[in-house]
Amino acid sequence: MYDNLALEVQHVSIDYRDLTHMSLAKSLRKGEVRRANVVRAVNNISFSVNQGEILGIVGRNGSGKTTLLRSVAGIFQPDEGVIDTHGNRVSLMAIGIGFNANNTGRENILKSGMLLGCKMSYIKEHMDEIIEFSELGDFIDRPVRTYSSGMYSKLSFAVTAILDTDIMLVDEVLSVGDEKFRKKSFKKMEQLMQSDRTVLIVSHATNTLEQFCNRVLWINDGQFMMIGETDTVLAAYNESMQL
Amino acid sequence: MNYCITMRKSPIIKIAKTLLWIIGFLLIVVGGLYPIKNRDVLLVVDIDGETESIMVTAEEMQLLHQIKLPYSGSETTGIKEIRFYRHFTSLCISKISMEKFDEYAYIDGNELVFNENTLKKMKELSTSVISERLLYVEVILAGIILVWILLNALDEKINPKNYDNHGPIYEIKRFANDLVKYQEYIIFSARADLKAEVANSYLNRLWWLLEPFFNMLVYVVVFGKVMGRSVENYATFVFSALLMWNYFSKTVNYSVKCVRNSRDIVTKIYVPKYVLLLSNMVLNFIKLLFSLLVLVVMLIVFQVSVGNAVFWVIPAYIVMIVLSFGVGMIFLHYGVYVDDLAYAVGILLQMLMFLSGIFYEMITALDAPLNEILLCFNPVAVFIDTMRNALLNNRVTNVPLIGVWLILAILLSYIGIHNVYRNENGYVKVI
Repeated sequence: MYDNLALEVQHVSIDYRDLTHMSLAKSLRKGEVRRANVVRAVNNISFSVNQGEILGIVGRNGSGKTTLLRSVAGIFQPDEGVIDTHGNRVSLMAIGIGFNANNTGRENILKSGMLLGCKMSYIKEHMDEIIEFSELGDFIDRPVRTYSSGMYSKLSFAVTAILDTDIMLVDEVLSVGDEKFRKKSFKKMEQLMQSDRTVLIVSHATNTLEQFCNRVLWINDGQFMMIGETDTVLAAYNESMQL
Repeated sequence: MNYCITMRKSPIIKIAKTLLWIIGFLLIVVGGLYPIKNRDVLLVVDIDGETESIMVTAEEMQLLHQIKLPYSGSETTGIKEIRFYRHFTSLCISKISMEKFDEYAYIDGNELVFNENTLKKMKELSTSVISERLLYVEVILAGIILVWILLNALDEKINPKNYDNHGPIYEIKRFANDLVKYQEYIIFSARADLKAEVANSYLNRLWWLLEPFFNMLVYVVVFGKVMGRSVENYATFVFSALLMWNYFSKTVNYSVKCVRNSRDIVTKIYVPKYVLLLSNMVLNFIKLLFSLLVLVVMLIVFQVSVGNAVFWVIPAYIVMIVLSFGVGMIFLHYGVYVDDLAYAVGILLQMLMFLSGIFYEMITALDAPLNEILLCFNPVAVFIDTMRNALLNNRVTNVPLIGVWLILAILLSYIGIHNVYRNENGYVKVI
């Protein structure tokens, strides 16, 4: 499609250390920390995404897809390798960033919009659009704690779908809401495909990926398996999934 | 974003840093042990806001048997207190309250005569220079940290790659940019959270005023009527100090749990972690403003006359807020990794509360060396003392200490910011 790169990931490895809940006494003895178990969630993965391209990432549960996506979003730093976003703004589409249950839907839209790096004036301009997309109607001025879980997810999907960021990362959230809303989200995704937005979708549902992606990356147990045309990669992936 | 780390500091900087430590250590040792000759002592009598003072040199102290001051009245009622100063005229080192007046002085015609007890006290004050020494140590400490950061900045300038975007120049620029970028969020989120706190209640926003008001009532009844005869306006005395203390302790307490509490945000998006702390600080500041409103009402009701010195409340508050940010940033980082830090900090803060002179005046309530040491090393005590003297007694106090703590607070904030920038991308893996 386009030639200029939007995102480059080079030889990225990410470790998890087993030191979740440390006590003060243990942390004083630093040696304990160093000897913690290290789990390599992502191992030496490289790929690049062009401007306006939609890349799917496929793999089994626990294969490191979400971890990879999070580090692209800048939430945490890879232990080895380089992630270059070429100055693009990246946002991870996730449910309810920074939502406070006692605030109204409108306040929460502003809050999570600003966390995504948008200006208050910009969000206010798009407020009506977001509210319309979320199908919440009068509920928008009620506290979020009164929402059903479906309404909650609709609202948070609407925020990230409408507010523009250059690179959008989607982590299996396309299945939120009822049938009608799901169709709407799919339509929105198709719109994004036509626009200049770069999208990374993580899923293990291959039909979603078939529908949207230009290319697909397959990872298994943190290891790079293959990257290429959607059909080829998904065929190989499905084959490996056979019992 | 380049994550390849190649640390090779230039040898000159390394030598300079070693030298800095040696020189700093020597300066502290020399300053701590250097035999300073006996100081002159300034004696100030506070007569209804007017002051009458006399400077007594160290030599005179050995010769004199009594000190005389002109005094027009025949009764002691006008006299509020007697204060002693050494080198800094804003750093009070000792006080004689009116109850003990008879031990130290009497009225003779048109003169106020101070007896041998006063002279003995002054001699003691003249030989001990503890607060000057401690101040000196603090200045040296601030100097060492400052030079250390400047050396790092120089190193960063010479070879930017060494620091992998964690040099002082880069970080300060980034901090400034982030502040601008997130200021809308900080303020909006503070207001929204404040609203959310009272969203369910019947009285709603009225609580912002009611809470400090009833707090004040408690202090008026308990401390004004039941306890406290020794200090004038004891309820105001305690209430004003507690407002300041509460802000500090709330900020530090929150900072420990800050990242864990904001799990929802931190695991889904990148946000500089101090934004979360700052937002909470703004929230507490708005609450503080409501409490200050109640304090103003209290001052009017108790007819406390306020003078020009009241403006010193502002620098005291500013330095306090900067310091609470700095301390908060350091606890924010360790709070992520160490689970039980929240308990430890809670206990430490409680101990510090009683060492900060909220319920008593540091200089009069504690004995000679201890009060000066506490006043020098406990910044909250300094801020409370300065704020309260400016507000209630129309007096400017502790200026050098406020200055030193401002510098230390800024340096501490920088260290906190540096620490958090360096490690914040690992937080998600732990919480």
